Amino acid sequence: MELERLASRVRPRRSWEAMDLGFRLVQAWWWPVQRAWLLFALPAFALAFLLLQAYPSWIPLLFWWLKPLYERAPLEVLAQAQFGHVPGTRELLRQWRRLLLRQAIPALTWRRFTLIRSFSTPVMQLEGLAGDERAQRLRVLAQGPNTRGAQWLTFGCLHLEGLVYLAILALLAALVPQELQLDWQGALTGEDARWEFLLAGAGFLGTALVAPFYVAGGFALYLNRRTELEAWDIELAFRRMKKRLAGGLTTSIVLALVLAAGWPAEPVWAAEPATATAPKPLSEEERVRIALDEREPPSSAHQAARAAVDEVLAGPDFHRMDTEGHWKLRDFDLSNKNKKPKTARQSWLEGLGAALAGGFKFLLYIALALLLLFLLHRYPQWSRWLGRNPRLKREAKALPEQVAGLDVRPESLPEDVAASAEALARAGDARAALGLLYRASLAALVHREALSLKASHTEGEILRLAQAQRPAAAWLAYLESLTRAWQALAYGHDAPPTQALLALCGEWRPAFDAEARS
Amino acid sequence: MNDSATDHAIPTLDSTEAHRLAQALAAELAKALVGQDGTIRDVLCALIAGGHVLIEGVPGLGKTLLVRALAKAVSAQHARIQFTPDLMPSDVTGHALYDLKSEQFKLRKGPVFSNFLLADEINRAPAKTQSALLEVMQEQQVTIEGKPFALAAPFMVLATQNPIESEGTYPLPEAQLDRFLLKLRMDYPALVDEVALVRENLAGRLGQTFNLEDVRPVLGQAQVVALQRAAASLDVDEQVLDYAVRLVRATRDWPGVRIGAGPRGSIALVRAARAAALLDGLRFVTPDAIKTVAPAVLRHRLQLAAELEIEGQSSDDVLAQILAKVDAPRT
Repeated sequence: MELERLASRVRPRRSWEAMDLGFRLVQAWWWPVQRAWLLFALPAFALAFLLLQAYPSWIPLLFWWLKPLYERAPLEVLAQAQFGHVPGTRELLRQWRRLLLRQAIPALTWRRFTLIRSFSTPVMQLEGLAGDERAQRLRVLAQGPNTRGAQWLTFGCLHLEGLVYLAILALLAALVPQELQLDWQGALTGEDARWEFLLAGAGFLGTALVAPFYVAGGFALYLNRRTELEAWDIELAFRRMKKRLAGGLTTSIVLALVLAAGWPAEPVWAAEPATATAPKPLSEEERVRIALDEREPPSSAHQAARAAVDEVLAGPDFHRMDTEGHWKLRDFDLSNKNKKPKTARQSWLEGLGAALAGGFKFLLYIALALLLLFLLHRYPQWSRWLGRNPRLKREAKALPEQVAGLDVRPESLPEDVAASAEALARAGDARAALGLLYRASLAALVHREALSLKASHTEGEILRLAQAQRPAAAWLAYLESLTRAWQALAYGHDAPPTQALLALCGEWRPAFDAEARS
Repeated sequence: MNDSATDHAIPTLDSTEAHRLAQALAAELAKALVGQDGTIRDVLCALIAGGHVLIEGVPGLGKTLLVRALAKAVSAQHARIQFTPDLMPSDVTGHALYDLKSEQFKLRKGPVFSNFLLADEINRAPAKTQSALLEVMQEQQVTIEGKPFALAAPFMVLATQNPIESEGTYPLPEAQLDRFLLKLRMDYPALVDEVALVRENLAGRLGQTFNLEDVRPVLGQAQVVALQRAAASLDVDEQVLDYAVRLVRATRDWPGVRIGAGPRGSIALVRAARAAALLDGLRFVTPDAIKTVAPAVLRHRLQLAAELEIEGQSSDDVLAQILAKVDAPRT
């Protein structure tokens, strides 16, 4: 492979960044890629249309089922475009047998539901592997975050397709004039076949718009994984260095470095998952040092070169630290000691399960947070209702002091209410006297009889409330006459005769004064 | 009101006398209309306040009976108009007719020339007929062929609406609903009352006649006007007035209310409260009186937002919330 001819910049990327690179690839070669997809998808759709005219609801299913086959041509275009050649329609048509038929049966049957199709297709198509070889290779490639990226890509594109599909339908619906009475119900229940054709068409458009991005995203993930495994970036760096330093002694050093450092990386990194006995992979720095040590006895030129190499090795290029942290389940093996290696099918099932579980976990967290918020919000009411929290109970009891409109706190009242009222009455201030009596009575109702009074309660309502809650209370008659007198004074400007007022003052004590009663 | 002509015949009533008369009238009406004490009180409240009522209720609750009993108890005239889609304004107010014999226009007075007018199913007539009646209600006079005719006092319109059949009706616009002092909801009587009512109505009666023999005339028309004047002379304390206005203003910016009641609502609220205080035998208006009449006065003056209506909330629910939130006056 002529790596230096690669059109995109080669470096290890995170999976999201790699997918982004794929989308940039589509931006660069959109029409060739789209055309390549349409090349086989359009005839397939037309064929499905013709074959299934009688069963229009099966058209989208058949078309969807054959999807892996149309994705091969755009992949071919993308792969070749990386090396500067964009295959034309005719060239692709000439290869139809290779593009469509190779491993078509597995791709359409047991591999149809894999979530990493975009990632695994290049293994089959570009590396030409099949059977056990392919499975083994895929097992190696599928380690690492790129696989998860491929799964997310599948989920994302699936939803994007749905969105585009709905958007197309919405656009069509918006363009229908209002005067046209459409039978939407026919559309929803599938009674009207024309709707089925329309929906299938919209589905085709949605798939067509998203497919290039899906293919390119998977392809970029595949490239990324290989860059990681085979250290393409390092290889390219060395090749560039070789070009720059061509000739002389240095060439042999660089070649030695390349041979010693670059190539051994492949078998080590690309090996099966490390067993307990496998040696720890050497860092680049160590490898370079070993390569230098194993060489011929040092000459002066070599020593100079060695000094230069040491300098480079001490530089920032070899001391980059990347720290990645994530939670990982501890390795506890409960039952099956001799675990078989997972098949592709198991792995995708696990992937699906993990993705679904992740989604549900997220939703559960949201639900939990909402529940907590709701509980916090309702806590005061409930705790008052349950009567468990004495602090809140006290608050609830204390509430009327502030809201009853009148100041009914006991400390705002004089020590001897009846005597003060009587003094006021004798002084001729009937309003102050009655007001004091009424206020003191309300305070007694609130604090002793635990009536819950609100600011919106009128005098008559307070009286009725008292009658309803304490029908047998001795003070009811007094409260009634006091209320009448107060209403007449406050709203009718009709002061009671002094005698009656004094009588009210005198009766207050037996009715409401706690000390007098006890 | 054409007060000057009848002024000499109208007695002045003190509050005790007024209360006694009102109680007597209520007792007479209760003889005819069993189990609808709330409605009777509200109708009397509107009568004493000089207002008109809109009654909403299913058919067969005795609305016509109420009007006839009322007319009989105060020895006044009553008329009933069944509103239909082809009813014309002149069918309500009256018209001039050319008499060939005398070669003169003769005036034929319509049913509005009475004391109590029952406008049955007012929402079945088109807008122009409705507005002809509503104009009469507002002005208390009728103009026929360019000549104004004053209506006799007391004049009161009791209009009914059927809440269940809205097909083919012309709902009253909000501006016209505002002309009614109270909107009452008449409901089915309680079981005991209904049993008593059925028994009463079947006792040796032929066909569908009303049970009006027991209703005696207890008041004259002049006394009704006197009652209205007594109510109008009741004291309204500043604080009570303030409370009434605060209640009405609260309807304007209450969440879920599209349009609240206007100043006419505030005036109506105090007017109705004065009548309610008189019915209670008080010489002054209390906040309690305001609060009691508030639902009937305000329920047709609110327009709820669509969301609340979808939720199934009525203006009564909103008013209950407002009444529970607005502070009562305290001194």
